[in-house]
Amino acid sequence: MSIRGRIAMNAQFKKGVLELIVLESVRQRDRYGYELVEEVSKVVDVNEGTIYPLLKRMTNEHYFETYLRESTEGPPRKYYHITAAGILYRDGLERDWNEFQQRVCTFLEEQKRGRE
Amino acid sequence: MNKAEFLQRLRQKLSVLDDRELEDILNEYEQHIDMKAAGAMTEEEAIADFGDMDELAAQILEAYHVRADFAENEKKAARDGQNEDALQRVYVKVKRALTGGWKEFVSALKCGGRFLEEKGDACADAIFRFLKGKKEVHAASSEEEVSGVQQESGQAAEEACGVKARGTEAAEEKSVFLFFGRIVSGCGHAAGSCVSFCWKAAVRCVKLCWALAVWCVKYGWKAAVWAAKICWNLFWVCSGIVIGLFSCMCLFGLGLLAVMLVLGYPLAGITIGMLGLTLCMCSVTIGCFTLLLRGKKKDALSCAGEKKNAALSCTGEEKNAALSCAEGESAQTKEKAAKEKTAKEGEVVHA
Repeated sequence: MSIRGRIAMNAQFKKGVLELIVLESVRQRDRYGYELVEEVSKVVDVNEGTIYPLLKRMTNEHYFETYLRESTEGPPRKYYHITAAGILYRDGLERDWNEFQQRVCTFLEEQKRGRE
Repeated sequence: MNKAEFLQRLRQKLSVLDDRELEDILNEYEQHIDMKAAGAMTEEEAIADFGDMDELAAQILEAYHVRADFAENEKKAARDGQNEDALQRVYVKVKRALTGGWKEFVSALKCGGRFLEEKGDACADAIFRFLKGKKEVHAASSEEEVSGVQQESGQAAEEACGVKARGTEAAEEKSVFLFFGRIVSGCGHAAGSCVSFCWKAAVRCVKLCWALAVWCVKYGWKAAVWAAKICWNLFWVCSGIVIGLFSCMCLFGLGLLAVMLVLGYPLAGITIGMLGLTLCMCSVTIGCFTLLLRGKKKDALSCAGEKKNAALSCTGEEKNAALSCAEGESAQTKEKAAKEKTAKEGEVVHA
């Protein structure tokens, strides 16, 4: 696989996990955009610009609802709230992730043992 | 790149989205930048964190399932159109203007037509009502008459005429009643006849115009025929005169030859030949003059032959003579034309 392909692959990795992280963050409590970006940035090193499109897409797919709330500083903020569909989707993603991660781990372990 | 610039560029790239969504997204990014700028970062740094502008825009558009290169392609196409199809655009513009103009023209025509129709309807209505009113008057008058007649028999009719009750009393009143009734009915009749007269007059006018037009056409045809006749006659008169003069000369020659023959010269053959020629010429002259007024039913072959002869032997003096003759002829034909005209007019008036 070329370098470019690997980078793309990494981006795909991140993209898949990013959804899960964002969903989980919002599930804990309603958050606004910048807050979420900071939250996600703690976990994954991600381009900050990409969070907003993600939020947008997931809102369009009805995993989130949005509402405006006044803030003490600056203009009102748009808060994201997870929906039932969003929770279901999150659970599915978590399951997938665990399975995927487990398989990859097992595979890598086996390979390591085989080499030794 | 500062915030305003960034937002402006992002707006351009996302122009495919509808305004509400666009504002929503831009708002979010603006807030994000503001918050970062409120911390330890500058606007420029915050914006740099977003990474490549095109990638960002593509990701946003992806959230809407829109092809990221859509706006770009659109712009490119527009640019190409500007460069390459300027002529076509001019053509399209002209076409649009023309069709627009035509449409306006048509709609104006329609408007005018509708206006005329309305007005015409109104006019027709007014005339109809007017005529109807006249008729009613007429009808009313006849009714009155009838009621007057009825009252003679002493019957009290049910119609709502206060005058009627009085009518039962005396014959005088009846006669007065009748008198007025007659006057009214006379008025009605007069109006009716006026209208009918007007109508008839109009019809007659139209007919007269039509006849006049027909007559004009006919007259034009006649004029052409006359012109042809004049030409024909002129030609035959000319040739007749020419040939006649020639035959006179022949006669003169024949006389000379005869005198010489009598004196003893051996000219018998030539004299006989001259005699034949003279006779021939005379007959041709007569033939020419017989062709004069009978129109064009002569055979074309002999005509052609004669024409050639005439053309060959025509001289200036003879032409003058011919012209004077022709004038006489044309005067005659003109007189005839005038007569015919008056006759036609008479016919038309009769019609």
